[in-house]
Amino acid sequence: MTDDSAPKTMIHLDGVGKIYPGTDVPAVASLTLDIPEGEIVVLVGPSGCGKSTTLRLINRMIEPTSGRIIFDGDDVTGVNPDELRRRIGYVIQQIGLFPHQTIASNIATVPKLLGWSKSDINSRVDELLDMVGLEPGVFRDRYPKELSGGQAQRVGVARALGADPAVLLMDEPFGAIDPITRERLQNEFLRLQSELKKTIVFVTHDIDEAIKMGDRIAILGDQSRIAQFDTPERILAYPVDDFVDDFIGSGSTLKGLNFERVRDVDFDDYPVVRAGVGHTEARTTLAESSEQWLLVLDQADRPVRWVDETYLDSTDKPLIERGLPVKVTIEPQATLRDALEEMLLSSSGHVCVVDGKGAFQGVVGILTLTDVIDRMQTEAQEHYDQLREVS
Amino acid sequence: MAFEATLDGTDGLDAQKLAEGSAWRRFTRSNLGLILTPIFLVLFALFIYWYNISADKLSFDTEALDWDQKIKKQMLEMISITWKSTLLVIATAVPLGVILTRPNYRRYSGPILAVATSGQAMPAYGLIVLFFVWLGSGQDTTVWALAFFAVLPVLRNTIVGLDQVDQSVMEAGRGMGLTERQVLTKIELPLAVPVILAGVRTALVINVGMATLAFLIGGGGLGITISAGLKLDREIVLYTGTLLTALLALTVDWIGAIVEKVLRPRGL
Repeated sequence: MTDDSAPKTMIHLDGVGKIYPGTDVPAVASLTLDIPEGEIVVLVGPSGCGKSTTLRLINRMIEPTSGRIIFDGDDVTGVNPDELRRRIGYVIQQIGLFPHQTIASNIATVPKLLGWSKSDINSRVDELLDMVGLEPGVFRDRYPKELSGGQAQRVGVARALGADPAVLLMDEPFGAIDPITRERLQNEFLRLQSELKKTIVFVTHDIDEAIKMGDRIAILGDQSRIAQFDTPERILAYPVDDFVDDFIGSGSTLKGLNFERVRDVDFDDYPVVRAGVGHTEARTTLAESSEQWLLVLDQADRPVRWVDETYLDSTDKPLIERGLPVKVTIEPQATLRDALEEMLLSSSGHVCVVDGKGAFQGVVGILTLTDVIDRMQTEAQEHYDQLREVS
Repeated sequence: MAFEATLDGTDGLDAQKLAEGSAWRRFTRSNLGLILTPIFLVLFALFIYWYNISADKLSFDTEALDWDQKIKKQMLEMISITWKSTLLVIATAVPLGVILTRPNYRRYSGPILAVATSGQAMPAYGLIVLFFVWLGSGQDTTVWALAFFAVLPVLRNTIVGLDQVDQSVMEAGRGMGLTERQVLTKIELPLAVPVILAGVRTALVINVGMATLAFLIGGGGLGITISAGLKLDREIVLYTGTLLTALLALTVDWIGAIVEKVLRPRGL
């Protein structure tokens, strides 16, 4: 789970609200939110809940009608919005590349506004193209219409990173891209973020994208009221109310297993024998345990067979030729979600954990998973109980 | 030929020497019309010339069609009127169109477009006479009258051209910290250029045609020759005047097409 000792707050929204002239109902009711430095905070909610409006309040594309925005310690509610925006990267779903400018010139937009020298701009453009996986020699002088959707979105991200801003605002950046490309861009972006450590506010209506991308998720209801703001693990383990529960939808337990790794759980006490032992010894080992199956390891400690009582019939055949083969194994860094999937394929309902060389480490069964789920839910519950006591 | 110079300058395919051959071929294929038009124009001019020297002429005809004294002077007047009124149209309609697409002034665009439309709806003859009553005779009055007549296509195209710029492109620009003025000059206007220029080209052609009416209020032009041919029923004079007007209009349109081609931003 994410460390709770909160890092420095990069953006602090203090009661920020927006009421459009001529209406009584606020588009965004008073919103107070801390965006920690170096994290991805995802604003997620149903359409029309005001999440995009909220994002645009941060760089003042929409002027708030109440509240204050504290950016890196400075109150920026009253500063020149154009200068503020040059310090904040901005990526939108439609990307909005300038069609009459080359890719290089698009990426150089903010550095040019900030008056960088030509040579600095050129080397920065090449660096960014490299960073988003586009060959500078090929793409520098192309025009946006010559790019595919995925390439254009990469350029969009490169352009937003142009002058190396500390903060990025992303409004459904992968929303208009086909699922396969989207998945690849998400993974690439997460890898990029693990190096760059930008503070990112990310808007999406897709809870799965939110869970995947977010270090923290703010689930927003009507008028951007925060229903729950927490790590994805805790939201999945403990949705605070029916609205959140409905929104994260079915399968939240399953999604929660994505956040736990096999190496962090206790392995089962499982009956194991070497391939060389006789049937009698094997039968004793099995009888002493409460399990149905016995795991047979070869000379190199690799798990090879699952054997149950019916196969231990005192024939002369070595154990290594009896029972069912071990078809799947997983490594310790796999997630519990992967482990569950392998269990469903395994003859014994258990999955063998092996190290990089294939040597046996232990066995994980379905009961281990239920324990973990239980623990996650209890921990989340305790966390919220503590919060309630404090307030 | 100046045309070739612009080709190298704007197409900018500063690729290897090898690629030049195929680039040239690609250019000629997509611009066949632009390349063939001048050949047609020259043939047309030769035809008018041939028609003139082969016809039997009275002394009146010879005098009315005298190159140095009449025709050349009238054509230069036409060109001058067209040029000046078109510049005047651009200088007024483009800024007006820009202002009328700004949020604060958008509500005025309806009424102002209505006035501009009425300018074009009015009979050209009546409009020129109205301006004569107001400003007196002479070439300058014609220039103003023509500008008023031709303002609509440029104004309307400026508004349409600016409106059709993709909102998300402007949003991205604003979001990166371009000021409103920078969005206008670096994004909106360049992207609207093709549409605006189409309007200017229309205005140019309208102006050439209208310039033949300049003679009514002492503004000169080929209208003098045409009307002389009509009044005295001299076919050769009438036809030469009209054919030269047509030649002028086609040439102006061709120049407009080239300007459009050259000024169109790359990447669109």
